[in-house]
Amino acid sequence: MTDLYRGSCLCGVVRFEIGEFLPQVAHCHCSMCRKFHGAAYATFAGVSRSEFHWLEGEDALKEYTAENGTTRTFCSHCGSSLTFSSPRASEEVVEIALGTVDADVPVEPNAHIFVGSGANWTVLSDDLPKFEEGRDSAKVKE
Amino acid sequence: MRWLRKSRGTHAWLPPRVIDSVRYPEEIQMLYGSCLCGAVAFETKSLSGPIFHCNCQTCRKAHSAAFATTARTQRAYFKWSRGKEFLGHFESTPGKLRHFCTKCGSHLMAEWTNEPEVILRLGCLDTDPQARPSTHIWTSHRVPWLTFPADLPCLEEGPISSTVDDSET
Repeated sequence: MTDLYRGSCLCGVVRFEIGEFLPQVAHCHCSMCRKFHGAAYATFAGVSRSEFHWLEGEDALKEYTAENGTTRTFCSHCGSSLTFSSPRASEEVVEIALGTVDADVPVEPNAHIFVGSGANWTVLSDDLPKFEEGRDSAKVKE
Repeated sequence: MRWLRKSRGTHAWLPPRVIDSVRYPEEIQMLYGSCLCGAVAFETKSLSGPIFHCNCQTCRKAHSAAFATTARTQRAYFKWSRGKEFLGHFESTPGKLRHFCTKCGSHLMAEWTNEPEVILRLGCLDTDPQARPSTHIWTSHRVPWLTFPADLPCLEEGPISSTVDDSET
């Protein structure tokens, strides 16, 4: 039987469950993620839609779709950022903001992406690969 | 750019190694910020305290990120310059309000309502604040699967944990 990984927003109104994670987890430094999270960078893990279920609070979810077609959901009560999806990625995949997962997870961040548009006050000193844009873009020289 | 260092006397509540790493621009600096969708914007003059990466559980949940990067500014200088009608807030602890845009979810500012400073969420800044992050705080709350570079001094709790018992910055 597969372990289930549960998560929730800050106020606890929205709850979700993940069956299995996809292997790619990235810290995203793009300006949109920085704004959406109000943080130095976001950390998203990919999950197949068939492995992701809202358990409670679906009526409290709000969606924001940007001009580039990417869609982000957040809790309308407390503002916790929850999911990201892009029209340029597989429709079968939704990305989950890892900060909202309550359980220990079997994956770890394995790249920094969109470092080229990162905040100049963010200092990165770990050994993860760093990409100018997405994982298929040029690597940033150390 | 000329820089000032705060004396230890004015920041006695901070560990010396943190104080020594804090620098402030000498001039008053206008800082502008906005949310992801652009509906809400704010402005203020200069940061009034160090930049912290806060790893506490509440910040992790509110920002859905490994840590939130925050810094204080004087309440008297802070103003919402656009879209105040789109703001929502969540009271995560009595007296602690976290303000976010109800159209796109961006967290912009948090405040203890009885304090003379408010706390900016630096991910929403559009201006380079010149100062740089000084410390990771509340690292006792960090989760092992959201690793971060240990490039800065780490405090297990908050910088003022000896005088307040709340876990949030």
